[in-house]
Amino acid sequence: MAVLQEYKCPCCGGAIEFDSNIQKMKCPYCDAEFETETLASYDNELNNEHTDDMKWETAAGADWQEGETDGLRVFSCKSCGGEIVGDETTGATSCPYCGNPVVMMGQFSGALKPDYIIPFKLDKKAAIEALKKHYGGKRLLPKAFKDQNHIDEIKGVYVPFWLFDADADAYIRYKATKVRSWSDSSYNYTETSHFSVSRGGFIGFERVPVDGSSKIDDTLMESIEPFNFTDAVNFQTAYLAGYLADKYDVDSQQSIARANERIKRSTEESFASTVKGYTTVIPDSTNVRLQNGVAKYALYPVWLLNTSWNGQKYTFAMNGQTGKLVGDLPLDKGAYKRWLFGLAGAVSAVAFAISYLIWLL
Amino acid sequence: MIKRIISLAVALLLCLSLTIPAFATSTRLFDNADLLTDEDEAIVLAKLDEVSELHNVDVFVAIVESVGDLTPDQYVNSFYDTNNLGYGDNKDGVLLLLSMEERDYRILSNGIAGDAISSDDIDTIGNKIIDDLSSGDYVSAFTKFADECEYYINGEINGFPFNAGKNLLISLAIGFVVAFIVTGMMRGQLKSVRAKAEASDYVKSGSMHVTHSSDLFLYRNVTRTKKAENSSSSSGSSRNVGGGKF
Repeated sequence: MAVLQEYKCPCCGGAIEFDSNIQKMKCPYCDAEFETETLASYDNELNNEHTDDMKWETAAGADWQEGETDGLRVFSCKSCGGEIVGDETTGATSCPYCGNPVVMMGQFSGALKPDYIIPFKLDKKAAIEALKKHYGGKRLLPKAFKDQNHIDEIKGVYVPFWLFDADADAYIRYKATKVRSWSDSSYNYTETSHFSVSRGGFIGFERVPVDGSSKIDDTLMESIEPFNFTDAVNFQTAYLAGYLADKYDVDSQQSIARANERIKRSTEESFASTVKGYTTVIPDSTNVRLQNGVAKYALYPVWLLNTSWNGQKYTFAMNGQTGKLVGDLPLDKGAYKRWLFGLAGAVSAVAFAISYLIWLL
Repeated sequence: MIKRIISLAVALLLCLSLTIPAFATSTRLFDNADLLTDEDEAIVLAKLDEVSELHNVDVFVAIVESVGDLTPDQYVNSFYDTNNLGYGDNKDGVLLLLSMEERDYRILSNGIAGDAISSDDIDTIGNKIIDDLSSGDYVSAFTKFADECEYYINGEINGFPFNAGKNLLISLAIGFVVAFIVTGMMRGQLKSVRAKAEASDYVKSGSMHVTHSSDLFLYRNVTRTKKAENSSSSSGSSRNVGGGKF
């Protein structure tokens, strides 16, 4: 059976959450604060208490067609007994009946236990503020979108990432040219010298992240990079309380291709920067061998905000550590045309006036 | 008397030895190939005289049967010099020369007209008259030629009139290019979701070591282009020649 974890306040028994402002666990009912380390021990004790055996859970599946529940997991809330339905990757959520934050322990145990977690540094308010700021200064954003802005959903999610460490052993050959020009009384001369330039060496990469959740857009996650790994701590389930969390459903083998692409590109760029003094430098052949490749599993904090406008859904993501917020916005076509023709008219008028002034002089 | 006879004989010999016919007249129209009727000649000549006297820059039209062994460029230069064409000491003038056998036309501008009418301007004038030349409407071609010369010479001396249409078109083009760039940047502000193609944020600091580095010189190419020559000078003042087939 699936095991649920709720963190109860040792003082009052209320459900407690991780507070990103004080970087501690805090009880919203009695304001008691606890170190996450304390909760880790508490966590262990709680785990030992799990002796219930609720056999009825399998009986309830009798009405389901075979395969129908493959993607679903049903949990029972320990506070109110309500049934929580999540999908197979749900790792932390809140009870839809009593609102208490719960963590599905089984999703992060054994081989599935993440190595690191970067706890949330910024709260929901900061995310809403960042979104407002994101709307500012954009003249082609429809005014109605800004004014009628309702955030349909805002959730703090721990997104599973694979972190790849590797040393790249590179050998790159470039075609390079130097161009020199001079002239005498009747001819212009251009001399093009061709070179074969090669560079070889090592470069190390650490913790290149690749999104391990198929539910979350990879491009969106790359856009809110970088995460600062100095804030990372060893994983403890206590950090998940109050947030949503997913376990990975794209494994490290599947993610490695993307990491390789990025490492290769950066290696090429880094070595190209050592080829200096040429007019043109074009990579001719690139050979990158990776050594000591290691993949780690980590949860990174991301605020996801959804809004809808004119029947379309807009998703924004904010880095829960650095506050970098991204999300594509709709274009006000009317405003675009006004700006295009207005600017073209104004600039043309100025250019015409200048041409007349030049003629007068 | 003997001196006069000798000098006449020398002059005669000189004339015979030259392939370029020298005209004794002070006319601005040389119809050596007898292309125009007398009436047409009168019309063209009147036009050339009128334009020439406006700015004291002579505008000539010459029609010859053939350029002989010379190239059209050589011929038109010789023609201008041999006949001592042009106004004043600087020989300011423009010459349109048609060679009927080769169907070549050349325009030569000299002196102040050389400053006024560049090689590019000669091409522009040529393009405007070539259709009339090809279809045999010579009076129209010569009239247009005279008017064009007057436009450039007047522009050189008094300044060109403000070309509102052309300037407006250029201004509009500039306006739209600027507007597209600016609104393009404004559109770019709306898009913030972009894949990261590189991993430069995750390079271990100080981990890059270049262990092999070679810069091998392979070969060298030298290309030579002739400088654009707009003028060749014969008397210290500028001269341009251009033209083509008609």
